[in-house]
Amino acid sequence: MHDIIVVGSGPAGAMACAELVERGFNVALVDYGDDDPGMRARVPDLPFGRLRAEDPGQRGYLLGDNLEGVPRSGTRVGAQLTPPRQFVNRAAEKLLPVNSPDFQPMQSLALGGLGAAWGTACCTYSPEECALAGLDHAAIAAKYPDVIREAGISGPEQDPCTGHWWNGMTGHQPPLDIDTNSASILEAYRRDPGAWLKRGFALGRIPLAVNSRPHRDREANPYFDTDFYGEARRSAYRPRYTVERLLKAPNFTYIPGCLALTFGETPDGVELSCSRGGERTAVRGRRLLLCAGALGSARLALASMPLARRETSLLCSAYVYYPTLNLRMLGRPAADRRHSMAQLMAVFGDLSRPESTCSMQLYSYRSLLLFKIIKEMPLAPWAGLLVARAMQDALSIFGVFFPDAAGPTKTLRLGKSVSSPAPDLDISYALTEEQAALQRKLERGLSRCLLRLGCVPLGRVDPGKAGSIHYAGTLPRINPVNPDLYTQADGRLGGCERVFVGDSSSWNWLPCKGPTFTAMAGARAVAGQVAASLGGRQ
Amino acid sequence: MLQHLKPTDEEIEQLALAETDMKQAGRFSPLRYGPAGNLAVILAAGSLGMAHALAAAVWRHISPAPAKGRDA
Repeated sequence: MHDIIVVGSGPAGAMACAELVERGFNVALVDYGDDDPGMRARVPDLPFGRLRAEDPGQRGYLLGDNLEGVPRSGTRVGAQLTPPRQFVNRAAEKLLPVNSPDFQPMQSLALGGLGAAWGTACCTYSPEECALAGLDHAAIAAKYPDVIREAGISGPEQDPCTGHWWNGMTGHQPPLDIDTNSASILEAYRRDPGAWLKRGFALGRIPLAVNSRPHRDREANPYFDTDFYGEARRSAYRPRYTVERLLKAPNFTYIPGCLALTFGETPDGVELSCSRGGERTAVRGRRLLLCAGALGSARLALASMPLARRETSLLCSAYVYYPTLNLRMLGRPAADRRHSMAQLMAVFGDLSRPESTCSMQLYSYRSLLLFKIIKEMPLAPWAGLLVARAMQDALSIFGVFFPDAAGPTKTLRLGKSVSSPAPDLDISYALTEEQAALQRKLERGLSRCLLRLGCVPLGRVDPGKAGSIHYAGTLPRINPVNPDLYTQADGRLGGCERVFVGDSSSWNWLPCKGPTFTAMAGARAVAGQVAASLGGRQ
Repeated sequence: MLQHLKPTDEEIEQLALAETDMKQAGRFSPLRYGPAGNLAVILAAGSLGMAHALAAAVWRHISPAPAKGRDA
């Protein structure tokens, strides 16, 4: 029998395993573990410009062997995954069915979970945000340095702007170089940051889980702008790297190919029932830690707990993006040396009230490929191509995220197992009128700020209700939809002695800032509670 | 309305194939004619391209065989 079974190898699961293995426990990681190393290996270790000019096999990984990287009409969740990343939701689309007219979440059964396609933005949460989410800020803040140590994070020094999303952090690497386009926007902002802050707009460098210096066995980012295709010398953190490192430890076991279905407490531990190669199999441990993501952990808990109603709450950040034309760069050459991840971050709104702010990430990567921009233009293709070429150096894309609060209009209900061994999830999700009004107000103000910065919005793209891929709150501390299903303050699932929740499922509220960095710190904190329940130090 | 002026799936597929053909890389390189030059390209190609797309959409609407690959 294992000491602890961890379900899911995503950012939370990998970090929890690292914490528990370091403490000497016998840990089993149960995972489906889909992967596509062959496709990844096809991306040459060359700058994007050179591989475009020299590699005759580029179509295979840029568009996919069956052109699966060419998005069809409409914008859907997951359409942004490049062919080498499409394994991330490949198995989940078949094995984790969701029924909803308008909420199609991205789920993952990949090795590394959704973290295999994570944009790597890292944000600290303030005490106010932690209080709203039901998190222990002191415990989370104590674990941030361990996440920095494991993942290798490059970030800015704290200033009045970056302090809104990168507060009190030390021990990280220097920030990555900024590209020409984003540098011109930041320069415009820095002419009078005080006035911008008075308007409620803070802009600055973004911390990323990408190496600017070699870290452990991973290299520094080579600025090839291929980060959404290959692994660019493993510079961007993926949870798979932690799993690969732990495999060398004698007290760690990786059990791939398992689709976890239900759990049950036994007199001396927990039994996890899985589907493996079409057969039912059981894994036994003294404790179980759920890190299968907000939807995955909820599916397991709803299928396993003795509940009167198999229904729960759901949180998801609303998300839209604005392609903009940076007038300062129009007709001027942008340097090709760049990485593909976000260059800048901003928060906007009432900066003293996290419920009334939105966050923004600015991208200006060249490797987007022009046809994806032309697809959105109401122009004949020849004209779209000319316009896209004229705008290419000056194109900046602002992705905007909004906070989310739970309520009776956002629910997730367990259905029957129809097409998969795992049961269906029926999702109904609608923003309240109050939330929608706040979002409209923030977007209006944000558009004005973008214009003042010299960035003319060219449109507004809404990828759908689940488009942010930031999900949480399905097993919260206080559940407004099903009070019988909740997580206790120490991370234990309500009504259970030996089952813990390690991911963002346990949050009561979702901030506008990216949740992954804090979810990783939270997983390490809950892992400490699991250790304490087995007689270790907390 | 603007949705109907966007390129069809077939046209986008042709563009994607051309963009990943290294012999045609020059067709997709950035235009750098200075701020005024690039603005002129955007305005001219934008207005002519929209007129062309409008004419193509009308033609698709009145012609008997619907274009492949476009959402209803």
